This record gives sequence, structure tokens and C-alpha cells, in this order.
Amino acid sequence: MAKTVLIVDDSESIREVVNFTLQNEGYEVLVGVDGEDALQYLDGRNIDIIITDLHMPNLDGLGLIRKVREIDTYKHIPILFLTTESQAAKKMEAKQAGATGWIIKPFVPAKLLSAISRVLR
Amino acid sequence: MIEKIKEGFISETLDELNSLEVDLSTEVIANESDIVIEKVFTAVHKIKGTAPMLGIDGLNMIAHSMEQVYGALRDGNISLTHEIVFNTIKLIPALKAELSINSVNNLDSEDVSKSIRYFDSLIS
Repeated sequence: MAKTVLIVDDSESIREVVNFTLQNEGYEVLVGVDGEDALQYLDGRNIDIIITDLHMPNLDGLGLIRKVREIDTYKHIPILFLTTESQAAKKMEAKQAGATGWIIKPFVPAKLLSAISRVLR
Repeated sequence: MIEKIKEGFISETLDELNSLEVDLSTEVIANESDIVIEKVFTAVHKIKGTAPMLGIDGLNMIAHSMEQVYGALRDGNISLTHEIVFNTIKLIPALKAELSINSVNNLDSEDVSKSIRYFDSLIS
């Protein structure tokens, strides 16, 4: 059965690139434009991994990670966050909030796929 | 598919940069600097994270420098000055020129380098 990935990013281009990359590899993809929007998908449905940007309007990535960890169904779901290297301080904050790991932007599709399969192994 | 995404990204980013030029060139900055700082940070953060993935090179040095400074402004570690605004207004056309494949580039590269060095000096 195909694994389901929830992608959360306010950049339409990033969403499209990630969506295209993952669908080509047989993943099912759900897309949120920010943390608030992503919460609609956390209604008990089966999601295998969340990949979220940190800097977003309405509810940012840190806020989303904290909220996800409060929901019993998703308490242990892997969450990777997307970050640029200049946000190094945010890495620790995101880990403390409950993130599983991070992917540095910009990334090539192979790096994204490898990070996902490593976490889902 | 990637070409279509790239076209959308360029168009969206040029619109954002045009809007920022208006914001930075008007009195809005005096009263709503937090909003403008957030807009600049968001725009260069997106450029830095997205452009290389779409094969658009040449923006990263400027975007990185601006992201660092506007990140520090956002976090309150430095304050917005006219000099920062002045240098931002000089760097935005450089970003636009790199994005606009068909445009004629009349920018003074030494001027652009000076602005990048100025921004880098604020962070180091």
C-alpha cells in the first residue's frame, strides 16, 4: 500500500516540486499551504510522515509540530522539517517541539526521497 | 512539468519583488516596518530555498545575505535603518535581473557587491 506524505509549505513552487517528486515515486501526497491548513488532514486518517516548512503564515512549522504531538493518533508520526542553513538555531527548537529530523533547503529530489525512506524504514 | 513550476515561481517572485520595491520606496516603511521586514524575509527565504531546486542559479549569494539581515531584524537583534533600506532597494533589482531571462541587465555589479558586503558586515 502506498505511503501517505503530508507536505506543508507556503511556497507553491516547493509544494509542486515535492508533490511531483513524491507522486512519481508512488507516494500519496496531501498538501497544506500552512500549519493551520494542514490541521484539516489530522482527522484520524492514515498519514505516514509529515514534512513541513518552518517559516509560514498563520501557524508556522514549530506551532504545527507542537499541535501534532498533542493529538493521540499522530503523537509518534515522523515529522521532518524543511529549513535553510541560516536557521540553525531553529533546528534545536524544532527538535524540542517534537520533530524527527530536518532537510536543508534547497534540496535535490534524491535527497528528499532518501530522507523519507530512511525515516519510514 | 518542472519548467511550468519554474515559470510560475519566476512570475510569482517578480510580483513579490515589485511589490517590495513599492513598499520600500514609500512612507509605508516608517509606520509598518515590521510588516515590510516580514515581507522581505519571506520573499528572500523562498528564493533561497526554491530557486536552486528549479535550476535558477545566481541568486543565492544575494538571497542569503538578505535573509541573514532580515532574519536578524525580525528577531530584534538589529534595527532597521535607512542604510539597510537603501541597500535593499539596490539589491532587489539584482534579484529581478537574475530571474528575468529576457531582461537587459544594466546593473553595476560593483554596486551590488558593495551592498552584499554591507549586509554581511551587519551579521559578522
